[in-house]
Amino acid sequence: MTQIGDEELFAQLRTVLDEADPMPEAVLVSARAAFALRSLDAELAELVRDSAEEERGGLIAVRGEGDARLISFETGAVAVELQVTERGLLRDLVAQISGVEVGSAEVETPTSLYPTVLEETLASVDGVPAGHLRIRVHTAQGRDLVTSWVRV
Amino acid sequence: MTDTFGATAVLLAQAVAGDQRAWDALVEQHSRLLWAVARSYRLDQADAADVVQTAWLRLVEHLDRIEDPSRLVGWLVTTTRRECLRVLRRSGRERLVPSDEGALDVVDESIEPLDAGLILDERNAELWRAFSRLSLRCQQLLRIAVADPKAYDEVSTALGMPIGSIGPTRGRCLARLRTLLDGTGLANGGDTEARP
Repeated sequence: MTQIGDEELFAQLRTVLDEADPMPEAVLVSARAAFALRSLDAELAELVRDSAEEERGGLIAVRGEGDARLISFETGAVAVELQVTERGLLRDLVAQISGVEVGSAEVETPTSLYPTVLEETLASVDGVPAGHLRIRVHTAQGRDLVTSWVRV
Repeated sequence: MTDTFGATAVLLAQAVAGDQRAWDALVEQHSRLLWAVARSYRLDQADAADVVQTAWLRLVEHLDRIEDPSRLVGWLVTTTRRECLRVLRRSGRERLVPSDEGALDVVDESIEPLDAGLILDERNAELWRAFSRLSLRCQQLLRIAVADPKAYDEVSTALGMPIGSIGPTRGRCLARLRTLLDGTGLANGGDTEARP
């Protein structure tokens, strides 16, 4: 094989990668749509801990109800502890919200909003589809908080 | 090089101001690089798509707080890498992560080649096979060089490669690829040839 220049080799490699491993158009579509999920008025509670990151593959036993994943978010004095239980392609969620008086809370996916049942500091909802989601909290004082997005 | 970074910073500022089309332009300009990064960590298509989406969602969350707009590409790549490592850790595949010391890894012949579409051209198939036989680190470096040549240094840094080794390593990977193409490289494994 005759020696070809770097430029040409890169060009060939680009062609081959485009053919062999193209990025699906759906990735672009979802990424564009992400812009609409910007929450200008909501305070962001960042992820501070995720049991899935920990040594044993991230599952902890929860009172014999089956394994669950625990994800913690914080902003200032407010903490959201999210417990995620897998049920096939669905997720059952319980969020404990502390440090603020909760008016209502919702689970948000890129395409939907799921209301939660609120019992004191616990907000729960069953059957949310697996994928990206975040918790949106409306406080009793009219403040809005969102957790960062997680993939569950 | 400055122009590219300048354009990205301008688009970012416009997106911060609420311009959906500026956002779309950022997405179109940089998604393929992020896809290449995710795939170079051997994530399958579904995981790679999720990881790229996570990176863009993360950017939307932090849109008002990007400290250095001229280094947005590095920020996106760092975020993508973090998510890739999370995915690998969860599935116990962390051993497939390219070495962080910047040294070229050994070739792992046991790794499945990337799920590829049908390549009709024999010459391209040959190049694809040779590419697949490079170390994971080399594959990653060359994928970045192809996806975003202008941001190569910034991207390599974001992937944890020490600055001093960037140029020669890419050159060595390219040389390695040529060797494999020429057929004077490894035949059937079991090689004792020194890694470039």
